[in-house]
Amino acid sequence: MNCEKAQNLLAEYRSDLLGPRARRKVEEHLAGCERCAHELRVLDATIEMVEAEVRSSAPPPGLWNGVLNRISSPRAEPGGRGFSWRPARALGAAAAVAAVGLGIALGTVHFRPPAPAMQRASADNRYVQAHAYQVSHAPLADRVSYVSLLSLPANDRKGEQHR
Amino acid sequence: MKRAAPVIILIALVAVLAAAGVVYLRQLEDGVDASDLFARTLAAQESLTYIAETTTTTRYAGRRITTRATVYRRGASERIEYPDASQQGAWAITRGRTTFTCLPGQDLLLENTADSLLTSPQRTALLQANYRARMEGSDLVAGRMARVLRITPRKAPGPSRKIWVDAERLVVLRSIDYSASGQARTEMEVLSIDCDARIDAARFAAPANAAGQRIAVTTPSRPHRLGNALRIQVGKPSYLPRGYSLDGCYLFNCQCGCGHRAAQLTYTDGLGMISIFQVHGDVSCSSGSCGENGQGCIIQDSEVARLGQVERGGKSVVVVADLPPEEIRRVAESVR
Repeated sequence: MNCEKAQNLLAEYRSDLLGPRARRKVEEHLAGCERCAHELRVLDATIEMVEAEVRSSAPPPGLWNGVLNRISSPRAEPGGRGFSWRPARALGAAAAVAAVGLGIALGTVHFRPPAPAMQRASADNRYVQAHAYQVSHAPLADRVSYVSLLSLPANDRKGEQHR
Repeated sequence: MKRAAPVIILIALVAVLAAAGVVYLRQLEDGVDASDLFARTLAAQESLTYIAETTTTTRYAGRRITTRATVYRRGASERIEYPDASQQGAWAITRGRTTFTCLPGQDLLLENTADSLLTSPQRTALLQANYRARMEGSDLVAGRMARVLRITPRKAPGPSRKIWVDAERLVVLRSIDYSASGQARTEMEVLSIDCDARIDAARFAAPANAAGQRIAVTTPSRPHRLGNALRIQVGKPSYLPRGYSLDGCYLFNCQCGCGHRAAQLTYTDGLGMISIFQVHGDVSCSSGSCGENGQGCIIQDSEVARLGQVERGGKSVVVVADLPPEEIRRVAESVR
């Protein structure tokens, strides 16, 4: 994979939208190409900045559930009469349909239930270290490598912010 | 038409047999059966004796870190010494199920016990049930002839491994550990090896006089005991990926010395591992190196494994595994 192709796929790679094969190819390229790795870091920083801004104008808690409840709740039919085609009611009905449609669109596009936030963990995380210890005791495990990771000086084990 | 039917059936039968033959021949290379070599390699690991100079490459924070190590191996005992200045004189001794790791640079002596609930044959059976071995030819490593085996999950995706096995002694001379995404995570290669070395038992002696603060990081326990000690109900997950079995139950002590403790349940499919940590919601590591409370579901990514943390009924549940984020979350949220 060349740089141009890798950089075209960076946004999808970051959003976890690539298939396993394409993802592997991008990762292999990033491991050996500092220029593209830098591009990914720049992309990360930009998206994180945008996400931070979006978070500050996030919808109030409960909005999504509110929209869902309104959509699914049965409408009261006073008097049990049939639908009247008087102009004012027709206008109201059109507005209601538009509002529900808009609600569904907004709910689908912008107000999805939050996905798990993704961060880069430092190997300093003690749970990850305790996990690595157990992994190193599995049959045929590469214990030499796992222990070497744990024995790195603390200042060498700082994580990097990217996805 | 009726006369042609037996001929068609015969041709189909021959085709099926030929296909089975091709599959079998692909398993064989130079007269060696991959599954048989894999089984013999697993069985031999507990009885090997050697001294080896190795080099390791570990991916860390997008970088490759290369380190040399000397490995002394006699049966279930092993000593690993890291002579490079970057490792600051670190060493590790494994005696049976316990590993002592001395980190002079951090003034720490860590004690870790891996007491598997599975017997060695059960673990081997689990590994063979969930992973298949395939021959990838022969190679020369450290002047010795090695068979190259690729161990891949029977069900995708999952971690995989490529090992170069000494054709005569069954020592793993080289290995590459791949994450579920196919990225090389760690690499080890033997540069020179003495398979007839005599190693003094004193080399594996318990380090009673080792310098540094001694911390028992993981100690085998049982869920109800951990529950009493940690003031939580230690629950098991109602969801696990296929092929995983309960492997161990431990009391985890944070090595930073803050006194932070957690329950650790481990599950394995033979090669992959899932660790589930549970701790009272009010308790966390004072250094902040074990995650943060009260932030909903957080997924963190590192070369070693992915970590997911959720708050469940007054406790924090942390899942560490090489699984996709949605699987980590599903496992974490299924813990009762």
